[in-house]
Amino acid sequence: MAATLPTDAVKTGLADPAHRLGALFDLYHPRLFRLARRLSRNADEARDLVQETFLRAARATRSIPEGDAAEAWLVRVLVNIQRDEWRRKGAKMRLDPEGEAESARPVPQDTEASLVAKTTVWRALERLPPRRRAAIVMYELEGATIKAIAKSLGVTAVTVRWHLSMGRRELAEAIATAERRGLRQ
Amino acid sequence: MKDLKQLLAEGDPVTRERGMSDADLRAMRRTIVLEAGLETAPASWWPRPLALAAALAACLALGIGIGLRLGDGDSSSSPSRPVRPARDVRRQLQMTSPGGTRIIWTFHQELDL
Repeated sequence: MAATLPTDAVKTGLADPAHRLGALFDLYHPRLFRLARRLSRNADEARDLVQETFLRAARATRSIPEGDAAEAWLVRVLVNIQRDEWRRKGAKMRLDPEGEAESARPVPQDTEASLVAKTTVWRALERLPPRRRAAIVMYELEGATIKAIAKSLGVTAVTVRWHLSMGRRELAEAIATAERRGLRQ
Repeated sequence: MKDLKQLLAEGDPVTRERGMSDADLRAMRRTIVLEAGLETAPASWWPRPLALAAALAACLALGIGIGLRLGDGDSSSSPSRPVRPARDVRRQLQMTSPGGTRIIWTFHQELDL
C-alpha cells in the first residue's frame, strides 16, 4: 500500500495527526505484523495485536516521537500490549506451567526429528514471557543488534543480554525434554 | 543437532503464511486514521487557555454573587445590632482559585453594591 504523504513529512512530524498515523501505518505495518505474528499463536491474534498497537498510537499521537524513533516506539507498544495480555492469561498459564496441554497437541506422525525439534522450539517460545520472546525473535530472526533491541523494548543492553541468555537456556531445555520423550516412545 | 537460530527460522510462521490481505490492510488503516481524527478533534475546540479563562470567569461571578448575598444579609439583619460608622466597616471577600491560590478582596469602604 502506498503512503499518502511523503516519508519526510511523516518523519519530521509535519503532517496532521491522522495523516501522520496513516503514513506511519504504511511504513511500519509489515515489520510490526511480522513481529506480532512471531509473538502470537496465530495470524488472527497477530492482526489484532497490530491493530491495537496503532489504535493506541492514534489515541496518543503527541507521544509518538519523530523520525526513526517512531518505529521503536510502536514496537515497544506492541510488546507491552502482548505483555498485558500474557499477564491477563497468567492464571491459566500457572495452572499449566509445564505446558502439558500444549505438548499434548498432536504432531504429524510422519515427521522427522528436525520437524519435532522446530515444532518444540516454537511451542517453547510461546511459553516465554513476551519481552524475552521479543528479544529472542528480534535477535535470532530479525538479526537486530542488542543495542537496537534495548531501544525498542525500552530496557538496558544488560537486560536484553539476560533475556537472551535465559531464553536460549529455556528453549534448549524444552528441546532436550522433547528429545528425551521421543527416545522413550 | 541444529542450532537455535536455524530451528527458529525453519519453524517461522512468517515464511509459511501469507501476510494480511489488502482488504484487511485497508480496513485497518481506515479504522486507525478515523480514530486519530476523532482523538484530535476535541482538543481543538477546548484549548487550555479557554478553560483557564472560563474558570477565572466562574470564580469572578461566584465572588460577585457571594458579595451581593452578603450585602443583602447585612441589610436584613436585626435592627437591634449596633450600627457602626461607615468608615469602620471593612468588607472582605475571600476565595480560593482552583490552583489553590487564596484571593482576598478588601472592598473600599465607600463602595456600595
